Amino acid sequence: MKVNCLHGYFKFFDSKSGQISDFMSLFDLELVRQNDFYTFPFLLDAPTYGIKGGEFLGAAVTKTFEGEPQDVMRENDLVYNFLTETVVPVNSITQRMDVSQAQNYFLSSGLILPGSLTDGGFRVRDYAAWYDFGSETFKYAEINFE
Amino acid sequence: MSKILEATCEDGEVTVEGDVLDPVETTVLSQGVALSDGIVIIQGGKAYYLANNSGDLKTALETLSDALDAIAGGLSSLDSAGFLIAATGGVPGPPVAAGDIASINSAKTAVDNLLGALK
Repeated sequence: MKVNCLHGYFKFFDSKSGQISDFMSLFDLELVRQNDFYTFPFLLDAPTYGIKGGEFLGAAVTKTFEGEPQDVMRENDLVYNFLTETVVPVNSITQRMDVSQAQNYFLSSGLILPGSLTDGGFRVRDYAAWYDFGSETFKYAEINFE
Repeated sequence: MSKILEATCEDGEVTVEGDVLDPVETTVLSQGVALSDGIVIIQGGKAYYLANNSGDLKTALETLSDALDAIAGGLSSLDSAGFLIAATGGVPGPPVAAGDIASINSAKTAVDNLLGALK
């Protein structure tokens, strides 16, 4: 099952029927359908714009911007914190990224929290991963920092 | 994709959902001086304000129509007053501005037609 984190916004794609429900059972979480992907309920129908001084899913908007939710989040340095189920400023994330390197990807037992810090002090903003049900690990094909 | 929202503008300051847009990122497509209602179109990081100024045009045309009416009426009165051209002879001057007055009345009719056909 594919997981895309786009500037702190999440999209889950199942490659086989039933994967989403298996994934939800395994991690005891809820995902909801949005267009051709699944996402966290909190991100469902996220606004496609933000007005400076206003709010975007409860977080302060610092720059007026119109675009896909992930674009608005990128422009406003916001990410979805799935641990607290809130959209927060990326610099409020203090968690460190915990992955190990495999042959052609990075491995982790859990989802990386967007905004997590690397040992070098960089922040995770995007990643493309898939969940391997066999090995029960997340395999990250690509992780982007800033 | 773009987002269209209701907005107001006064003194070049555009307000949407109670928040004032950054003037550097906002283009006001009218004079934007007096308070107006309109819409703002946000595309990416840019915003464009369009005022609903059809009321301004209607008021301007009404004022112009009234002014033309007053001018034509005033000129008609003067032109038909029969000013004496010879103070001692008592000969009244003939009307000389009938053509111009007719032109003013035609212009007023055109303005009134425009006023009645505002889009």
